[in-house]
Amino acid sequence: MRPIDWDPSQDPQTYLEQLDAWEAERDRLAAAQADASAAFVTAQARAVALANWAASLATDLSAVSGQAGQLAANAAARATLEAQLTRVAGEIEDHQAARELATARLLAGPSPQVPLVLLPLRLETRWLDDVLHVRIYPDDIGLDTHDPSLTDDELRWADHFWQVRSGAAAADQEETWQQLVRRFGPARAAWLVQATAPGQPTAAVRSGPWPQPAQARVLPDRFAVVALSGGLPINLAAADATPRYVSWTSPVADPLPLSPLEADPAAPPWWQDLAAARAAGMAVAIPVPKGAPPIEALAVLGVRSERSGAPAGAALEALLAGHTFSSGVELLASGTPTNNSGDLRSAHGSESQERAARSVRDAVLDGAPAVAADQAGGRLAMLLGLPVASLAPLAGSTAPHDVLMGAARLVVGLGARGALRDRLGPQAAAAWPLLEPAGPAPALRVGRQPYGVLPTTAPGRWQPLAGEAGSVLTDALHEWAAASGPPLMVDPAAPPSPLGGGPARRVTRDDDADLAALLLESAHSLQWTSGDPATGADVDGLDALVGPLDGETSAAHALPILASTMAGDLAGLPAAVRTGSLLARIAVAAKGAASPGDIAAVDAALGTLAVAERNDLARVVHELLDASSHRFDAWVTAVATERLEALRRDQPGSVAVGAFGWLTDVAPRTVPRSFGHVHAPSLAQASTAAVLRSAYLGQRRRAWMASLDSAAAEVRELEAQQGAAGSDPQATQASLSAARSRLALARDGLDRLAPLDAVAEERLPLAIDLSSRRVRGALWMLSAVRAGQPLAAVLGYQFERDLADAGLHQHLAAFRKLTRFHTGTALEKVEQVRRDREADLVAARAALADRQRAVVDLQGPLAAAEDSERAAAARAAEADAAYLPFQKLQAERATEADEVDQRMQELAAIDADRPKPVDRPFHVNLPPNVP
Amino acid sequence: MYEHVRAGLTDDASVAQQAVQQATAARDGVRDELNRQGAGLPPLQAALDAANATLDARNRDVAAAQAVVSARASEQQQAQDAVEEAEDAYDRHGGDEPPAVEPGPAGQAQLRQWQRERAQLRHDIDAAKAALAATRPPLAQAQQTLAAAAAVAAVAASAASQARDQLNAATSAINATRQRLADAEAAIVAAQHAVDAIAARMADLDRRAAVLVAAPLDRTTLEPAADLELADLQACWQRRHDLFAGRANAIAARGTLLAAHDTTVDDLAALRSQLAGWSDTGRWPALAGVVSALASVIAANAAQRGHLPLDRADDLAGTRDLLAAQLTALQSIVSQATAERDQAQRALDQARDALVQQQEARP
Repeated sequence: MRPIDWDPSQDPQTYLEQLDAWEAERDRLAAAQADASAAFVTAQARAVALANWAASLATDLSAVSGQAGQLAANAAARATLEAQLTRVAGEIEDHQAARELATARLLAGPSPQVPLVLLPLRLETRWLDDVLHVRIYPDDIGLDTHDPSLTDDELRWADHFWQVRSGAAAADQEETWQQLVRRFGPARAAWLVQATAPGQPTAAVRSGPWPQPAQARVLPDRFAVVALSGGLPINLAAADATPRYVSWTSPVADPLPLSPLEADPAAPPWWQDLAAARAAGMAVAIPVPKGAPPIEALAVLGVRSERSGAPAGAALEALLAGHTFSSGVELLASGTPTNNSGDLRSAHGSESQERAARSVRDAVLDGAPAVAADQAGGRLAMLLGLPVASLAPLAGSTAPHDVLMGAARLVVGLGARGALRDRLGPQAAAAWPLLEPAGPAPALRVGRQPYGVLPTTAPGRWQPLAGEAGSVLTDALHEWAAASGPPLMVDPAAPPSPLGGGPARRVTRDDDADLAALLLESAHSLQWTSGDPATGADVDGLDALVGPLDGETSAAHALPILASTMAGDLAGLPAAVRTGSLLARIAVAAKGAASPGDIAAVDAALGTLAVAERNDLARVVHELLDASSHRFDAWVTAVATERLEALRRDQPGSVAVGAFGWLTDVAPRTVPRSFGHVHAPSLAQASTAAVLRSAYLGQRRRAWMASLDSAAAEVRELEAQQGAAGSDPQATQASLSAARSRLALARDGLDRLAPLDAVAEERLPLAIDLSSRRVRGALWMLSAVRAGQPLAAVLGYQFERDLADAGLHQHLAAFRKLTRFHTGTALEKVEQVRRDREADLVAARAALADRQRAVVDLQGPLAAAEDSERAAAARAAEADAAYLPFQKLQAERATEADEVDQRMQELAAIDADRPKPVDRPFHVNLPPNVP
Repeated sequence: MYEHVRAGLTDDASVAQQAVQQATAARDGVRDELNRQGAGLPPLQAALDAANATLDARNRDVAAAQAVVSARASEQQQAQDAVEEAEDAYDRHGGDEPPAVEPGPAGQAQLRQWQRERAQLRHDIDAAKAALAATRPPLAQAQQTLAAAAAVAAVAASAASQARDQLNAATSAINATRQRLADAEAAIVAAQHAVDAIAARMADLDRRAAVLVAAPLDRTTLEPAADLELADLQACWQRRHDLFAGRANAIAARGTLLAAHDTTVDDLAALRSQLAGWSDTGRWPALAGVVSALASVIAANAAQRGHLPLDRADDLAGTRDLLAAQLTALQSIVSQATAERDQAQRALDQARDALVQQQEARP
């Protein structure tokens, strides 16, 4: 009951008691209200927190639901793609098989099981009106110039040789041979001995004055010419026409005559006339339609069909025999220089020709030597599919082929690894014994031309056979083919990485202390560096690679010691022996890595290496190191050679012959190759003249460019003046026409680098008269200076002489007075100044070199920083891309946060509106005298 | 030869043949439906004709009734005209105002004459009015007859309209079905064309294979055939490369998707931490289950992270279902908390009311 004012009629005591009770009840109710309010706030906070978390979970659930749906859709899409890929893979297989069937029939080639010997071709191209004309020439090895018939003179001298040989005539046999060689040449001399040997059929005698004409032999039936772009054949058919990728030549005759003597003037021979070449199958015209991709390469291939009575093996054998007796054939030892270089001269010369002929002669006189399969002749015969006897008479046929390489292969295989071998994995060790990085057979010299014989295959389509050691490389072969093939064949999701590429050309054995440091191969194949000068592991030059010629660290000294020392005792050897060369360190590592069963073989191999010639040893070792680090081509060759050997074993005597050639940079030139020719009496003079001419033309180009800029500026100025007030339109127009003419003239002159006017030409720098008169004058002047005459005096003398020659004697005194100069001290001062300037120039150049080195040093860190920046940018881009799908989530989150805030505000408003606990003050009139 | 291409084409042919069969079945179904619809059309037409005949009869009745009404109305009009003419005559006679006459007999006579005439005119008016009143019942009766006939005619018109609507609806349905039939026929033709195209490709493969193995060798046909194979081969390579690219994109998209999922799981991990660290978690035992479930989701996701996108085996559908269940549980807890909050609210209100009542109540 709310208290009211005291009623005087009421008992004060009773009133006060009631008031106390009321106040007590009020306090109790107020406390209860406070408790309820606190409980409400707590419950409200719990409910809000839980609601927020529920909202958050709902958001995440929504996201997961979407992701689950998208993931399922993604899986379905990938399954569809996989099904389509499976189907298209089958279609590729079908079309490939059909294409190969058709191509094999068109090439008229033998069975695919018969290895194909491809001889090289020489190709020439010419663009005429969007038609690419391709001319095909056989290389030297395909040209047979041998005439088996003998002249009377040859017959007489050959009989004389045999008479001396039989003792019927008294003469020195060697001298008789030399007479044959001098008179008819080494190879022909060998033929004379062969053709007139006792027991041989009587040699035919040449009837006419001229020898049998040269002929191209063992040519394919016809050639297929394919233009390539991006590694793929180009469709050269016009739009909407039947596709045309291959251009076939006409049938090719075998043999194909080359003699100019038989040429009919009315019917020019094929090597002179393009139409005749096309008719002979040695040329083809390929119209290239507009819009066709640029031809980056051109491949030409042909196969000689099986012919009854003239098997390919016999034809190839006859061709080599013809070369043996015409231009000469020999098997070159590994490492034989075949070209002239700054350091080495080609091994080919009269001595080698005579040696080759002598070997053939000796085979006639004494019988051909027996050639083993592992000797050079046996190896080459196996590769070519020829009988060993056909190569036995050739010089070099009995040379051991694989001894040194086999020993080095064993040691390096055990003692070193490399980036490439690491990539190939441990299973590649099975294929290591197949490696012959220099090739599986010696090179063949035919005349002046060396030919390497290299087994090869299509790595991308390699199918291993049971029992082949090279089968472990199947995946690597496929990957290598993909990496080097056209991008169209590559899955962008799994791009192949090129084997052996990249900067890490290294050999190492991580488990061996002596080779712990990485050895990075530098640009020079004989330089291997650790990249860290502190390790001191750099290898530079032959001495570091295989040791010096003699001394404690030489291979001849160190390797026998290593071979005779137990593996466990190697650490006790002097450091010079163990680490004197990279080969020694590899040998130590090899002995440590060899199994007990291999130790003896390793020791024997070290013995073989120890007695090898140092250059050969270095060549073999660095070839193997290259094959360990980056040369995957050596592994491809090894695999192909293993397969070839198996095929030869299975089908001995089966030979197929063809020819191939390719050209790059076939696209028509848009600028002339040169601006003319320089005739000079020697190569050195021609080189000098060419350099000067080039510099001179550069000056002419600058002059034309200056003229062009000037004319262009003038045209611009006149065009600006054309509409200006106060100008004479007619005069301006005339000036403008003239300026434009000059502009066109300058542009044309720049395009053609046409000569300037005579005065300007003479004033050009490097406009040097290189005639013999000038050269003689210069030589005279140089000789005078060398003789001690001052240059000024020599020039003055020349000037006075020219004055006298011109009949101007009367001016001589005046010129002498005018040009009087001091010699001696004054000249020396001038010379001293010149020397000072030269010294300054040298110092400046040194400073420049320092700066350039500094720039080079900074390029590495700069490149690394740029790489880091690019990588960071790429990561940022990836992060942005990854963030993109969630961008809206943040917005949704913000929206939800706003909503939560709004709800909280609403709750706060509700709380604010909610009636507050009433705590009103009451004023009551208390009865008097109430304390 | 071309085994794989043929196998693919055979699959395509099977699908296309199936499409033909499906289209044919669909066409037959539509045709049956059309026949049924066509059979239902004559009764509707007969009903419409009957309704129209009835309507015509009723319209004729209406017209006859209308004619009677018109006649009665005309008669009434004539009676009305007669009344008006009589009243006009009465007015022309002077109405009830006697003419001014000279005193005297003449005047009296004249006045009497006037009175007799006025009486006659009054009599004429009364007679005309009586005649007019006599015309009203027939007119009303005729109008009633007309209204009845019109009502009957309206019923007939409605019936006719309904019959017409039914007929129109049936006709429209038939037209629509005919269009569907035409579409189905076109689908059959298209599917058959696909089948024919596949058969043509099969025949082309046979022809190509024959050219490839024809003996003796004819270079004029074999060289283009070989080039055609290479063209197809290059097209296949290009198609494979495109498929490769598509697969790469799909794999990349999968990676992006899983990365997004990882981010979502990171959010869930934060949520789990908040729930696990909340002091009131023990108040609702079900909350521990939610925390545990979230932990399992996070652990499953952590096990998949670090793998390549293709190697990951995230069970997003399972995660979705699990999270949905946890959301339900959490919402239930929210409901409980809300109920507690409401209960506290009521308790607070009661306490406040009690206080107010205690303070404001009067004896």
